[in-house]
Amino acid sequence: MDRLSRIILYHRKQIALASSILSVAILAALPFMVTKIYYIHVLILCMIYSCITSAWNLIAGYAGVFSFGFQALFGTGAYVSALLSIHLGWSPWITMWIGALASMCIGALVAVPSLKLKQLPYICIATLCMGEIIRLIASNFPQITRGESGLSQIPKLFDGNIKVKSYYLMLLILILTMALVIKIVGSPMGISLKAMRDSQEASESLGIDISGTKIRIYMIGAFIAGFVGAFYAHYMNILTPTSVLGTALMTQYVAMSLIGGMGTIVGPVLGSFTITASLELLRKLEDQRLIIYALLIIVTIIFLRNGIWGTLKDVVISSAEKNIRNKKQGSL
Amino acid sequence: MVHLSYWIEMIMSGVVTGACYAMIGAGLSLIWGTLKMVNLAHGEYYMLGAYFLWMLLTVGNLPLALAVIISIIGVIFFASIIHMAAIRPLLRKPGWNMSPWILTLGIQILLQNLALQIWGELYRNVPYFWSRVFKPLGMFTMSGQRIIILAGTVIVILALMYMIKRTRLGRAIIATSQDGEYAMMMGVNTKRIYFITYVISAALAAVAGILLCPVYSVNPWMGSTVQTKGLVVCILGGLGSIEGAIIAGIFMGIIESAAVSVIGSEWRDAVAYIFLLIVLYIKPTGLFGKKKGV
Amino acid sequence: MIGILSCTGCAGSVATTGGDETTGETRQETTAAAAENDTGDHVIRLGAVLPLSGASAESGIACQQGLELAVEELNKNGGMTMNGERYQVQLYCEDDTGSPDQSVSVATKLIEMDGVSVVFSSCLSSCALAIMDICDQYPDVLFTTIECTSDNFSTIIAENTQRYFNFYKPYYNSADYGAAFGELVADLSGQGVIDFSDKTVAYIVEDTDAGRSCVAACEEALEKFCGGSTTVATEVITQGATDFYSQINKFKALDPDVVMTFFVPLNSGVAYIKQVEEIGADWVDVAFVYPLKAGFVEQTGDACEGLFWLPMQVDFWNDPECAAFADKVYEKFPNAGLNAMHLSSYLGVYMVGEAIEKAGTVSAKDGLAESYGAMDYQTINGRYVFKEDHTAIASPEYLVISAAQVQDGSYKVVWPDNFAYAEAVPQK
Repeated sequence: MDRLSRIILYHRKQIALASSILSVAILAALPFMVTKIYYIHVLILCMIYSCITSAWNLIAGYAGVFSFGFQALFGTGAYVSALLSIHLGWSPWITMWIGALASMCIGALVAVPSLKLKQLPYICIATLCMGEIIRLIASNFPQITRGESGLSQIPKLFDGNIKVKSYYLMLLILILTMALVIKIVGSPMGISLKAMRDSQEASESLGIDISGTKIRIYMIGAFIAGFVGAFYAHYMNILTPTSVLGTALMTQYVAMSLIGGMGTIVGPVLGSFTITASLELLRKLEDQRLIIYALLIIVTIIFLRNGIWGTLKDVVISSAEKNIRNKKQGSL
Repeated sequence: MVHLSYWIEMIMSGVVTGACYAMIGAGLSLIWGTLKMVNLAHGEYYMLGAYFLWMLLTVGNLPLALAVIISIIGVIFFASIIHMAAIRPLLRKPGWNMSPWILTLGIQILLQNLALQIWGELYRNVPYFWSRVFKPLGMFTMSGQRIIILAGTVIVILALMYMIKRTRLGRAIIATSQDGEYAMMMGVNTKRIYFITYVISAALAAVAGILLCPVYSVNPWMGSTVQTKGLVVCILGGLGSIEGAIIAGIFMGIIESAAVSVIGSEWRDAVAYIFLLIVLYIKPTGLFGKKKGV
Repeated sequence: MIGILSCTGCAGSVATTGGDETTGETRQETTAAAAENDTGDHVIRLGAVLPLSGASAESGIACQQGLELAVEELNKNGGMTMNGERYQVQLYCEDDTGSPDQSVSVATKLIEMDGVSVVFSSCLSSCALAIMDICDQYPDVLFTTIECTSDNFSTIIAENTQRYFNFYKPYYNSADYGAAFGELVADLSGQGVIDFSDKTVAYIVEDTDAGRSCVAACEEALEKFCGGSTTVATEVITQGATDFYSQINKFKALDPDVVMTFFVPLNSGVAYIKQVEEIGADWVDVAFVYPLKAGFVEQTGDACEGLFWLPMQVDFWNDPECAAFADKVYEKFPNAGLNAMHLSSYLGVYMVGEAIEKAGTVSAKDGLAESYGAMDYQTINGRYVFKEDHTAIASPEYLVISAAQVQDGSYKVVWPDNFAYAEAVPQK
C-alpha cells in the first residue's frame, strides 16, 4: 500500500510517460479491434473534441481567459480551408495549414480587446458575442459560404478507406496536440500561466508579461483549434455555420472540460471521450436519451466538483500523501 | 416620404421587445449578483411559465387571470425544488467557480427535453389576452396584447425595484450580493436569501414567458434565444446592477428594431452584439457596472 | 494512469457494445444475407434520418408518423413483396437534430449498425445534401429524400449522375416554386385581381436553403413572366421567429405591391398574418408552405382571409381521398400536426415497396436504384416520375404546384386554370 503511495507521489513523471505510451498504443490498435466502422467515426469525433477541449483548457483552465467564442476559431479554420480548396483547387493538405494560420490571426484579433476585461463573466459574454458575430458573417454571405444551406463537396483528404486513414491522421494530430500542451504546461510559460491563474497582481509584480502571455497562449490555442477545424471540414465534407461556429459546439467543449476536469492535462481528453461515449451509448434509449444525459451531468458535477479527473487526482494524491505521512509518523 | 409614424412605430416595437429583455435581464442579474453564478436554465423558466399558462387555458379551461397566477405559482414551486435539489449543494463554495455553469446547463437540457416529452414538439398557440387594436393619435398601431406586455413589464419591474430598495428583504439581498460572508456575519440568513433570489428570478422569467407567449408561440426550445439575449443584456447593463440590466434591455430592444429597419433582419443580432462590444471597449464594466476587484 | 485506463475503458465500451458480428464482414454480405433470408430474418429494413428535435421537429416528427403509418399498414397486409415472397418491414428512425454533420453520422449508423437497405434522407435540404455526399460509399443502399426543394440536388447530380446513381429526390425544386409564383403573379395581375403596376416585391424568408433559394427562383420567374420586378427588401429571419413588427413597419415605408413569405413552421406564419392585420397593410400577401399546416385558419381567424398561398400539395379539405388519408393519420396519431409531409413520407414507403417488388432485390446497385429511378407512380396528389437529374417532374401532368386562396375561412384552389375550382378575388 505504501509502496504504491510512494510510487504515485515520487514517480509522477514516469507514470505519466508510461500511461501516455500505453494509451497511444491502445488507441492505435483500436481500429483492428472494433467491430464496426461506425465506431471508428465515433472515436474520430472523440479525438476531435479532445483536441478542441485541450486547446480551450490551455486558454481557460491555465491562462484564465474563459473564452465562449472559441468555437469561432474552430469554424474559421474549417471554412478557410474548405473554401480555399474548393475555389482555388489547392490540396487540402496545404489549405489545412492556411486555415490554422487564419484561425491564429483571428485568435489574436479576439484576444487583444478581451484583455481589457477583468471580470470573468464579462470575458465570457464578450467572447461569446465575438464568436456569434463571426457565425453571423458566415451565415449572411451565402454567396461565399453557402450559409445554412451548407458548404458541401469539400475535397477529401484521402481516396480510399477514408475512415481508417482519417483515424490515424487524427490520432497523430491528437498526439502532437497533447505533446504541445504538456510542453507548454511544463515550460516557463506554463509556470507563469499557473502563477497568473492563482493571482494576477502577484505575478504582475514579479514582472510576468500578462498581456503578452495571454495573447501567445490564445494564438497557440487558436492554431490548434483551427487545424482540427480544417481536418473536420475535409473529413465530414459538409459545413454549416451552426454546426462549426455555433453555441452548441461551445456548450460541448465547456461541458467536456468541466466534466473531465479543468486545469489538468488529462481532464479534457477524459471529458471528451466520456461525454461522446455516453451520448452514443444512450442512443438505445431514444426518447429519454437527453434526459438521462442531463441527469448524468447534473449528478456528476454535484458530486465531483472538479470534474472526474480533477477529483480523482486530488483524492488519489491526498490519500497517498496521508498514507506516507501516517507511515512516517508511525516510524517516528 | 417616411412619416414620423415610421420612426415612432420602430421605437415602440423596440420598447416592447426591450421591456421583455429588461425583465429577463433583471432576473439574471439578480441571480448573478447574489449567488454569483450564471443561470443557464433561466430561459427554461420562461418556457415553463408559457407552457403552464397554455395548459391551464386549453386543458384546464381556466379564466385568464387565474391561469396566470397559478402558472407563476407553478414555476415558483418547480424552481424551489430545483434549487433545493441541485443548486444548494453546490453553493457551499461561493465564488466564480465554473461548476454552476455546467450544473445549470444540465438543468437546461433536462427541462427542455422533459417539456418535449410531456408536451410534444408542435408549436402551441395562446390567444391574445386582449384582441383590440389601438391607433393612438393615428400615428402608430399598438395591439392590446403589446400594451399589456408593456404595462405588465413596467408594473413588475417597478415592484421589483421597490422591493429591492425599500424593504428589508431587498436590503438583505443587496448586502449578500456585495459581500456574502460579511452579510452572514451581520446576521443575514444568506442561505434563505439565495433561495428567495433564485425563486424571484424564476418568477420574473415566468412572467415574461406568460406575457410574450401569445406573440411568440410556445415550444420546448423557446428559452434558448431568450437566454442568450438575457446574458448579453446583463453584461451590457453592468453586472450586479438591476437598474443597469433594465435600461440595457430597453436599449437593446430599440437598437435591434432600428437594425432591422435600417439594415435588415439577418444582421439584427450582429448589430446588438457589436453595440455591446463597443460599450465594453469604452467602459469595461458595462453601462452601470461597479468596478470590483478581481 | 487511472485517467488513461478510464479513457481506454470508454473507448473500449464504445467499440464493443452493440454486436458480435465478426470484423471484416462486408456490408454486401449483410444485405444479401438479410434479403435472402439466411439469417432467418425475412425482414426488409428501412432507415430514416429526420430532425426529431430542434426547430424543425414539426416536420421531422410528421415524417416519422407518415413512415410509421405506412409501415404499419403494409405489415398488416402481409408486408412488401420481393421475388414472390412477402417480407415484413422494419423501420428505424433516428434523430439528427437538423444538423447536417449529425445527419451523416446517423445515416452511417443506420447503414452499418442496423443494416438498412433504404435510407429516407431527411426532410431538410441541407441534411439531405450532406447525406448525398456519402451515398457513393454505400452502393447497395438506396437513398431517397422526403420532399426537399433545394436546386443544388439537380446541379450536383446532373454533373455526375453515375456517382449519385442511388440518390433520388422525389419532389420538385425551388426553381419550380419560383416559376409557379411568377406565373401566379402574372396571371392574377393580368386578371386585375391584384395590383402589380409598380412591380415591387418584398420577401420575408427563413434562413434555410429552401427559404433563400426560393427568393432567387421567384425573382428569376418574375423576370420571365412579368417582364421584371424590383426587390425592395429581402428579410432573412431565423427559423421559428415570430416578431415581424419591425419588418412590417419597414415594408410600410417601402410600399411593395406583393410580399412573399416563406416559413415552414406554422407559428411564424400565424404570427406574421396576425401582425400584418394589426398594423394594416395594402400589399398583396403570397405565402409559401405554412398555410398547409393544420391549425392555420383556426389560429389566425379572420386575419388570413384573402391570403394567396402555394403549394396546395394535398387538398385535405376538399379532396375526399386526401381527407380519408387525414383521417387515417388522426386515427393513429390523435395529436398530430397534420401537414403534407405525412403524405409525402407515407407515399415514400409505398414507392420504395413498388420499386423493390419490380426489381426483386433490396440492393441498390443490383437493380433497386434503377427500378426506383424508372418509377411512374400515380397517386392521390399527382404522378411521380423522375427526371434525368433524379428529381421529380413538376408540371400539370405530373406534380402540379397549385395555388389556393382563403375564402370565407376555407381553402379554394384558384390557380392554375385547369385545376382551379374557384375564382380568385382581390385580397381584403
